[in-house]
Amino acid sequence: MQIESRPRPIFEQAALAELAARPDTSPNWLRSFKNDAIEYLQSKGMPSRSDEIWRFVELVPIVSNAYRPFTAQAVSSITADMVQPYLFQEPDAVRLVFVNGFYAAHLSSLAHLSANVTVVPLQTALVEQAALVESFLADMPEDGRDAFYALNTASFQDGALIDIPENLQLTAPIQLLFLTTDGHTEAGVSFPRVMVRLGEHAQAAIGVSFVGHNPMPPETYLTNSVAQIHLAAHARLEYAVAQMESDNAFHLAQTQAMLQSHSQLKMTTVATGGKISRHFLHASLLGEHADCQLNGLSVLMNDAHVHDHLLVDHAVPNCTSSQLYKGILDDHSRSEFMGTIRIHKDAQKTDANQLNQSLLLSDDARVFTRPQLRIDADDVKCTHGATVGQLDENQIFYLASRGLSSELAQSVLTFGFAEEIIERISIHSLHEYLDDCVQRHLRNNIQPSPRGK
Amino acid sequence: MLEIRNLQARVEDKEILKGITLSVKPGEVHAIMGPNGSGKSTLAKVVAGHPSFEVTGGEVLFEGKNLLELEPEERARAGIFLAFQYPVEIPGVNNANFLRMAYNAKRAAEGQEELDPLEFDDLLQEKMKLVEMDPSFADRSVNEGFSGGEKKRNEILQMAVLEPKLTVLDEIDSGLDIDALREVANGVNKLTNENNAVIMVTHYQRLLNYVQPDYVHVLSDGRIVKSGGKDLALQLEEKGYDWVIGQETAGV
Ligand SMILES: Nc1ncnc2c1ncn2[C@@H]1O[C@H](COP(=O)(O)OP(=O)(O)O)[C@@H](O)[C@H]1O
Ligand SMILES: [Mg+2]
Repeated sequence: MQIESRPRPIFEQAALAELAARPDTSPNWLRSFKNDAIEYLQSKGMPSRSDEIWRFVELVPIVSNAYRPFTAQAVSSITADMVQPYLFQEPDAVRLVFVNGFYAAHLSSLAHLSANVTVVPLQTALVEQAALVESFLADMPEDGRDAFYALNTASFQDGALIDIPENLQLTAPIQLLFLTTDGHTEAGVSFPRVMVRLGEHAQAAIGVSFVGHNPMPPETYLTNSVAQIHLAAHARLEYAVAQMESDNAFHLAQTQAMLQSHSQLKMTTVATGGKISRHFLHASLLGEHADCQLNGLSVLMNDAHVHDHLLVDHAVPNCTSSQLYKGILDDHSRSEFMGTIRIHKDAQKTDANQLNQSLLLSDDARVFTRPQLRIDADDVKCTHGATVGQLDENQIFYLASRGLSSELAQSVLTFGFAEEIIERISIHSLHEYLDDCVQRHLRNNIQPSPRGK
Repeated sequence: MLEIRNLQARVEDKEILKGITLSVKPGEVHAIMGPNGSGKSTLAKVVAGHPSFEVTGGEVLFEGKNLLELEPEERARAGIFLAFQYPVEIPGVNNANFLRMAYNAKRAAEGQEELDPLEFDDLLQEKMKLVEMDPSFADRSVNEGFSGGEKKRNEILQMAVLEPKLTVLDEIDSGLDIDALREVANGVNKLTNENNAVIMVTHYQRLLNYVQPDYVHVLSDGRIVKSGGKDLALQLEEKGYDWVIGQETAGV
C-alpha cells in the first residue's frame, strides 16, 4: 500500500513544490510544458481579486480545499446503463467517456468512427500523436495563460484529442462525457484536457458534457478543464458544452479557440450545475472572414455562482462575431458576464455584437454585466447590450387568457427564454440533448409562484 | 350568456369604464365601436381578466356565474376568448406546442383526455386550413416576427382551436389589407353559429361589411352612449362619432 502525503490547498508553495516533485512518466517534451506551468503558478500564485477579471469570483472557497486527484478506482463501478441518460440519442455517435477524469473504454463507443478521423483519449494521443499534442501545447496565446490554464497544464492526466482531416464532413456528433462520481476520496479533483483540430473545409459537431453522477462525491470536488479548438480555413464546427456538475462542485473551465480564414465556430454553453463555476472562453479570429458565434445559457438556483468571461479577439479584417449569453436566476444565485470584444488596429470591417440577458426569478438573485469594448480600428460595427428583468406580465396574461395556469405560463415563458439559446443548435440530437437537460433542470428546481409576481 | 351590469373599472387612478351595461345571447354578434381611447380594449381585457385593471363597481355574469371571481385561465376554460388588439410575441415558445397546451387545458377542465402531439397535429392542420394559414406558422415561436396580419390570423387560429362560447375580437381588422381582412372575416364567419357569440371591437365600419353584427353599440368615454342595429354603423360611417357623442352630451 502506498502512503500518500496529506494534500494541501492548491496554491500553497508547498503544494506546488510537491506537484513539481511528483513522479511523472511523461515524456520529456511534455514534462517541459508541465514544468513551465508549475513555474508560472509558483511565480504568479493565486489570482488576486484586485485583478479586474477576478474581482467578482470567490476563489477562496475553491482554492482553500486540499484536493486529492481522483484515482481510477471508480471507473469499473460505472455501467453502461448508468451513463445512458447522459448520452445523445444518436445511434451512430462516436463517444469517449471518462469517469473521475479517467478514460472508461467499456463505456465509450468508437464503432462508427470514420476512417482518417482521430478520436482518442489523450493518454493514447501522447504516444501516437505526440507531435500534434505538442503543437497544441505550444500554440497557446499569451492572453490565454492564467492560473487555471496553468494548473490544468501542470496536472492533466487524460482527456481527448479529436482530429478531423481536411475536406471531411462528419454528420453525427462526437460526444465527450466527463462524469464525476463518488471516488471515495475527500475533495477530489480532475483535469480534463481536450484538443480539437479541424482541417481545411472539414465539418463536425462535438458535444462535451460534464456530469455529476449519483452517488455524488459527498464532499465538494473540482473539475479544472481546458479545451483547445483549432479550425483551419473554411472549417466549420458546432461545439456544445453541457455543464451539469453536482450542486456542491466547483468547475473552472477554459476554452481556447483559434479560427483561420472563412472558418466558423458555433459554440453553445449550457450550465445548470456547480456551486461556483467559471468559464473563460477566448476566441481568436486569425484569418479573414472567420465567423464566431458564442451562445450561453445558465440556469442557476440556491447559491450557485456562474462567471462567464469571454474574450473575442479580432486580429484581422472582415470577421464577424456574436455573443448571446442568457441567465435564469432563482434564489440567491449570482451570475457575472464579462464579455470583451477586442478589435485590433488592422481589423477593419469587423462586425461584432454582444448581448447579455438575464431573467430574475427571485429578489435575491444578482447579475453583474460587464461589457468591455477595446476598439483600435475605425471602420467597424460593434454593438453590445444587456437586459435584466422579470417575466413579462403581458406574456403571462396572454398565456393565461388561453387557459394555461399561471404556474404553467411562468414555466413556459422561462423555458422559452432558455429555448432562444438552445434553438440555435442545428444538430438535432445535440439540440434535443441540451433541451432535455434544461427542461429537466427547470422542472425539478424552479417552482413558479402561484399567482405570478 | 354574458351579462354586464353597470361595470366600472380603472387602471391605477384613472377611471376608464364608467358604467357599462351589455347583454349578449348565444348566436348573437355585437359590434362595439367608438373613438380611440374610449375604453374598448379595456372592456375586452376586463372581461378576459387582465390584472392591471381594477373593477370598482358593477358585475359581469357568464352563463349565470360571477365572472369577476375567476382567474383569467378559468375564464378561458369556461369558454371566453379574447383576440388581442396587440397579440404579444413569445420568443422561444413553439406555436404548435402553445396551442396544444391551451387546447389540453380546456380538455382537462372539461374532464376529457388530453391529446398527444401527434393527435393534436391532425387537429391543428385542419384548423389552419380553415383559417387559411400557412402550416409553417405552427413551427415558429408564438407571434415572433409575425406581420400585423399574421398575428391577427394566429388569433383566429387560436379561436378555431379552442372553440370558445364567447369571443371578443379586439380590432381584429386593424393592420389588415383588404384581402387579409376578407380571409380573417371568413374564418370568423365559419366559426360562428347559434351556440356561440361574438363581440367585435372596431372603430371602422369596414369589418362589419364582412361580419354582419346583430347589434351595434357606441362607446365613448367609458360609457355606451348609443345602441342600435347594423344601420347604426352605417350612420356612424356617414356622420362620424361626433354625431352620437354630440347628441349624448346635448342630452345630458
Ligand atoms: N394600462 C394602462 N395604463 C394607463 N392607462 C391606460 C392603460 N390602458 C388603457 N389606458 C387608458 O385608458 C383609456 C382607454 O384605453 P383603451 O381601452 O385602450 O381604448 P380604446 O381601445 O377604445 O382605444 C385611454 O385613455 C388609455 O390611455
Ligand atoms: Mg383598443
